[in-house]
Formats: sequence, structure tokens, C-alpha cells
Amino acid sequence: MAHIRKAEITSPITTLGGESTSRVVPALLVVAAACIGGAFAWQGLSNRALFLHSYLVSYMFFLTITLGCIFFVMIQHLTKAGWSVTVRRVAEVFGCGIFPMALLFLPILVLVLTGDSSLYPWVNTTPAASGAPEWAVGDERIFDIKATFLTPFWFGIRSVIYFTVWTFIAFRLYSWSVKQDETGDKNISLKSQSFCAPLMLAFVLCLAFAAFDMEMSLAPMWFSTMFPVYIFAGCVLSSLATILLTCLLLQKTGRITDEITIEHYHDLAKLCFAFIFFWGYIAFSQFMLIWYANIPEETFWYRFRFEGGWVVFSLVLLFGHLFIPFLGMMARTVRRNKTYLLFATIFLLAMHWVDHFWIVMPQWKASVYEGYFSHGEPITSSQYVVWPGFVDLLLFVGMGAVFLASFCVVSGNRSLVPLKDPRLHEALNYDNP
Amino acid sequence: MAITVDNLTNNTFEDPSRRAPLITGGLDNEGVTEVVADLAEAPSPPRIWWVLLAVSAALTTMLGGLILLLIFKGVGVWGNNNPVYWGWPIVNFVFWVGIGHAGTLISAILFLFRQHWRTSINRAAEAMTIFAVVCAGMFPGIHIGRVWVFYWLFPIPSEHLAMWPNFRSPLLWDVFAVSTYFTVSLLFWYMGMVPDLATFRDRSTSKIKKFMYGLFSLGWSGSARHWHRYEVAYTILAALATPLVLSVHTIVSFDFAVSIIPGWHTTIFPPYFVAGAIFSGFAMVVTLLVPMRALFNLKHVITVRHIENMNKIIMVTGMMVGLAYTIEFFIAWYSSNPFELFAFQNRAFGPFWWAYLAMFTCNVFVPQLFWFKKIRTSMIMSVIVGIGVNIGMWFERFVIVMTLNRGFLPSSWSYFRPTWVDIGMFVGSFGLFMFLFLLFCRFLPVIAISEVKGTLAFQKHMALAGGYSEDGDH
Repeated sequence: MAHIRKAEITSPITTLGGESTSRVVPALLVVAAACIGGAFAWQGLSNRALFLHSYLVSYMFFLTITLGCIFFVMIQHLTKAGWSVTVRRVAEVFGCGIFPMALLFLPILVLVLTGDSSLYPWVNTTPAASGAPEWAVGDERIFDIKATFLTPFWFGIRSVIYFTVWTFIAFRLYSWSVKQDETGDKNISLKSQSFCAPLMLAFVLCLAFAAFDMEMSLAPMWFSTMFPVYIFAGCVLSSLATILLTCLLLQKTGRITDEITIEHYHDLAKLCFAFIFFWGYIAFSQFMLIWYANIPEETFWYRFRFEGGWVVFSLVLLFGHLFIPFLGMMARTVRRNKTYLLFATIFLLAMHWVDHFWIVMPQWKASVYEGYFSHGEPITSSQYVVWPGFVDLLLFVGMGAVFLASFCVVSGNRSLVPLKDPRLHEALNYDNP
Repeated sequence: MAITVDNLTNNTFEDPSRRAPLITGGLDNEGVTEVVADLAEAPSPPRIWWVLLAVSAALTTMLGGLILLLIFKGVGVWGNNNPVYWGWPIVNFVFWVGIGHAGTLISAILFLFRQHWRTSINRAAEAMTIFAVVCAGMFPGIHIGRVWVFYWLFPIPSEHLAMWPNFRSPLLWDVFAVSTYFTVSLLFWYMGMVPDLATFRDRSTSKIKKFMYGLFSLGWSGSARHWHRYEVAYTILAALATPLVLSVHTIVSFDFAVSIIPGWHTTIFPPYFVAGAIFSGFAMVVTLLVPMRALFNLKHVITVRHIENMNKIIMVTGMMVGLAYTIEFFIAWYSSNPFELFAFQNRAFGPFWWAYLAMFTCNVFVPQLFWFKKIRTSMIMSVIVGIGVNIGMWFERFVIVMTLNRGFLPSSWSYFRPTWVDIGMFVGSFGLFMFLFLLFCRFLPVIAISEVKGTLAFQKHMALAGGYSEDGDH
């Protein structure tokens, strides 16, 4: 039961601090350029396919977090949530990272538009002997249908739509929220709420088709209706972990110390727990249905991931993304322990990265795998297994630097908690029953 | 100290700085008890109750007769035949199981999400869950052929039994899923009712009533120790029931999705079935509660805001279902599997096009009316949309099952027609459902009195602190 104790923001520091960020941002951008450029120089020229797949892994890692943060903000508005007001701003700021994410997508888009098939095999339309390209398993009819959807032109158009919609949502909500800091106009809360209702539909549609376009089409022959839900589950879980981690770190540096309490951490951790389970539920359902029906046109995707070294990643996900965090986040005491949460969120984010590695990397020799499917020739996938390496680290650090720089720029001198949200008092006085 | 609790009737206003009151009409603790207990204590229920009870009892009797007919003649009395071996019985089974899901969602998930508004509706919704599961379980139960050996469904170790269930069959998983669901829902419902049964016990004047309510209230005295244990147990049961919201309809979806039938084998089925179940369940709750609140004078406990909130959930889940339809259709095309694509085209444009149209219209378009506040706060429109949604959700299962009518072998294609027994049993199942629900309305606390009082205390507290609207002026 809530007890009204506080009505105002009392932390000594509520902003990142403009002066320090003005030095940090260029440094981060230099790091980003050096890391991504270095990775490109290291591997991009010699093995472009492998490099691009690594690029996509880290890219999807940060993109899904950003999208999860946008979703978090929208769902708080839609449900008129009171408890989460003080942690919402962090998600709003991360959500605006969708703009730099769009910029980081440009290299991929340019490659697709210029007909480079080293990332997405479907870009290649050169017919093999049978009349369809090799990836389309020699059947022209299959190729005809796929070729109407998976074309560089339409891929480009769709990407522009996705990023426009996401960017529009993220910036609109953030700018309204910031405006409310000054005016305290409670109509802004109402406006955000009614804005989110139709835009949620657009957001989810874009998310679903982006999942198809960006990751499922790496294996153009494979399809699963569950795939967008799987990506969505990862989005929400990783964004919750990111919000938690960010709040912990901000408080460690003495910022917003009074507004976010253990009660908020507890609730975020509860949501994390729920989405660990939800991710497991979705991942299991997708796998189980494909495994059980045992139709080669679907099973091949999982088969690659269960052969050779790839099975290690599958097992890491099973235990690291589901069983261990599920048990680890179950107890109330651990969900209210900041040291533990610091460790747990980093662990969850690491698993989220492995998840995308597991989705993307086995496709790096796509043509070989598709050939495996069509001709039934046994190819040991252990020949093509890729372990996370230095290039992956560079790309992760590089994109992480962009992600953080975006946080600093967007946040700037503004408060890290909403100052005049009409439901602020609920969050400030919030207690778990 | 007299704290005036809100006595306005319209609590659907939007004001982000204040939470709208959930109990209106100036009801206080005693008032809530009075309003709820009135139903059970009135010397005779309203005439409409008798009329409805008579109708539903007649339908239930008819259902019983038809079941006997089925047992004596065999499943041939149904329209099930090659190639549609699963006809209306499975459609009705999935339909009724789905209806139940709203109760579990309201009682478990909304509890964990601390949605106080659930307190006014959870009891009736949980009761509805149990009655719906009874109706659901009946259909596969009578479809097994030799009904008298139904216990062979369970893996009973025995030397004499030549039967052993197939653990790889989702139909067996259904047995476990549904029976677990029923058990936990019943426990949850009953346990939550104990304090209210004690209230009824303490208020009742007749000896029989006192004895019965006393028996089932398990010696509840309302001591602090009782409350403490009650609340701990309630939270644990809520946490245990939460995965059940997902698991039951997931297993039901597996009945279809583990097969290799085009149109059935699609990976999105589990969450899509769950969303559809919650969708239809809430539609049923609205359909039942709107007349109930009017007939039994519960307008200040089940307020317009409660109905509006449920309508919003209907809208959201309806769009989830719509999205799943779209994705399914898209992937059927994208997969370039001619059989898959045919199955979907056949659904939409084949002989059962009218069912597909009914499904799509009722499930995707009709709930869009709730974008308008006027409509989602209108009681009559809520019921109309609720009924529409339930028609749509019945047709959804019908459409899925009817995919069978055009299988891989064109020579066996045929048009499925139900028999009068099919129709009679479906109508009869509504009779059974209504019969049980009407008895519940008359003899048990239809509102979770003690939980509503908790909300009331919170509401007063917030009103003092300026968080709740105190006077309805906005």
C-alpha cells in the first residue's frame, strides 16, 4: 500500500552532465570508428561474408535493445503505469538510439541495393542450371514467389518504412516527455497514451516484418511464423536488462539516487523473470513444433545449429538463456539485491548476444548450406563453425560506443527522470506489496 | 472520521494525475457486503433468474439425452466423417477451453500486475472458467468411443489393461493440461472464496445455509494469522496459475500444430491460440457481467470502467489474433509451399469461405469499434461486440478444423455438414454453462467481497493523499 512520503525530485544530480558528455561523445565516436573500421580492415576485405554476418550480429543485438526500449515506453503509456515513471526516461533516451541504428544499417542496405549477395543470398538472382538461383533449390516456382518479396528494391523500401516509423515513435514520445518536464502539462500524458495505441500496431507490424527481412531471410528457404515473436521476446528481455543495468550504473555514479529505489529494481527484475520464461516458451514452441513434424524444409535450419561446433551455442542458449537465469531470478531476495542484479543483467545481455550469434552466424556460408538442402549431400557443418573472435569484439565495442554516444547526446543536459509527470508521485512512493 | 467515498457514477474519465475510483455510489465496506450478499439472501431471486434457469435446465437435460443417444448409437450420430474426422466436438472443446482463459488471466496475471480493478470481476470470471472447462472437457470425454472406460486416458499401471496411452500424442498432453488447469482453477477459486463464504455463514439465518457455508468456509475466523496465510497462499497459487494461462491453450494448439497437415502445422500456433483464448474469454466475461450487474444491482461494484478496461483488452487481443492471421497468410505465401498456400486460399475462398469471412469480420473488424470511447463504454455495444467476438472465435476453430475437408487426396474432398445432434450438443453445452453460472449467482458470493474491500481501503487512502478522485469533480 502506498504511503505518501515524497512529492518531489530530491537527488542532487539528475542529469548526465553536459560538460562531461561533450568530451565523452567525440571520444566514443572515435572508438566506434576505430573499432568498426579496424574490424573491416582486418576481415572485411578478405572475407566479406563472414565480416558482414559478424556485423549483423552486433547490429541486431543493439537494434533489438533499442526496439525493446521503445516498446517499454509505449506499453507504460498504454497501461497508464505509475510505478515506472522514474525509469521510463532511460528507456525513452535509449529508444532515440533508433536513429543512429538506422545509420548503421546503411552499409547493409547499400550492399543489398548494389547487388552484393554476401550477406543475403537472395540478392543473387543468377539462375543456375535449373532456371532458379542455387539458393532457391532449383525450383523456379519457389524462386518466382520469393523473388517478388525478397528483392533489393522492396527490401530497401521496407527498411525505410521500418526506421521511419520507429524513429517517429521514439522521438515523438521523448520530445513530449521532455516538454512535460518544463510545462507539467498533464494532457501530454493523455496525448502520449492515445498516440501509442495506433502506433503500437504499426510498431509491431514493422518489428514482425523486420524480423523476417533482417534475420529470417538470411536463410531464404526457411520460414517460421513464430520467428517475429521470438525476436520480440528477445527485444523485451534485453531492453529490460539494459534499463536495469543503466539505472544501476547511473546510481553508482551518484545520479538519480533517490528516485529509483529497490522497489523499481524489484519490479524490473520480476518482468525480466517473466520474459526469460516467455523467451523460453517461444523458443521451445518453435523448436518443438518443427522437430516434431520433422519436415526437411523446416528442420534444416535447426539441423545446422545442432551439428558440429554449433551445438555448443544451442546448449549455451538452452542453459544460459533459459534454465540458469530462470532459476537465478526466481527468488525475491536476489531480485532485490543490486550486486546480484548487476551481474545478472550483464549475463542476460551476454546471452542475448549469443542468441543473435546463433541465429545469424550459421548462415555465413549460406550457399553451401542451401546446397546441402537441395542435393542431400552430407556436409559437416563443423567445417564452417565460427567461434566469436576478435572481429566480433571490435564490432561489439564499436556499435556499443555508438549506442552510448547516442545516449549521451540525446540525454544531454536533460533530466534522467521525468520531472513533472502527473503520475510521478506514484513512482516516488512506490512500494512492492 | 467520515471519508466520503466517491459517489459519482461515471468513473471513466481520464485524468493522469488521479486514479479513477473503482467502487462508486458511495459504497463503504458494509455497503459492498450488503450489495453482494443481497443476491444470496433475498427470499426469492428475480423472476428472470427463474426463467433463465428453466431454459438452461431444459437445455442441459437435452444435452444429457443427446449424450445418452451418443453412447447407445456411437459417434456416428455426429457429422464427423472422412475426411473431417474431427468436427464440431473438437471445435466446441477448443472454444470452451478458450473461454476459460480470461478467468485465469484475471485472477492470476492481473493479480501479479497489481491491477486493482480485477477484484470486482475475478470471482465471476473464475467461476466462468470452471464451468467452461467442464463444458470443454465433456466433448473429448464423450468422443472417445467407449465412454465407460474413460479412465484409460490416464496412464494407470495395471496388468489387466491392454491399453497404455501414447505419450507422444498431444491428445494425452491435453488430458494432463486440462485436468491440471481444472484442478488449479478450482483450488484458486475456492480458496479465494473462503473469507466470503465465512461472511455468508455469519449472515445467514437458516440452519441449513449456516451449516453449508460453515462447512465450506473451513472455520475461517478472520484472525490475523488466517489472513496472513491466506494471502501467502493466494500469491503462490497466482504464480502457479500464471504458466497455466499459457500452457493449456499451447497444448491445445499442439493438437493441430504438431501434425503435418498444411494450415495446421505452423509455429505461431501456441501464442496465437493463447491470445485468441484470452480474447474470447474476456468477450464472454463482458457478455455475462453486463446483464449481471444490471439485474443484480451491482453497478457500483462492477462499474463502467471495469467494462471499459475489459473492452480494451478485447481490442488488444483481437488485434494480436488479426496479426497472427496476417502472418500466417503471409508465410503460407512466402514459404512457396503449394500445399500450404492452397490450404489458406481454400480457407478464405474455398467452400467454407463464409466461415472464414465470419471469423475475420467478427474477430478483426468488429472489435475495432472499441477505438471509440462512446462504444466501449456503452453497455449494449459491449455485449453486442462480446457476442460477435465469441461467434468469431467459434468460427476460427471451425475454420481451422475444416481445413481437413480438402486434404492431399482430391478424390476424398467433401463438404462437411453437421447433424442435428452436433448442433443440439453445442446448444446444450451453453445450457449447462448457463445453468451452472445461474446457480453460482444465486448461492455463492459473485464478487470477491474481501478483495473489493481491500481496494476500497486503498481508494480511501489515495483519496486522502490526493491520488484518487475524491469527489468526482474533474
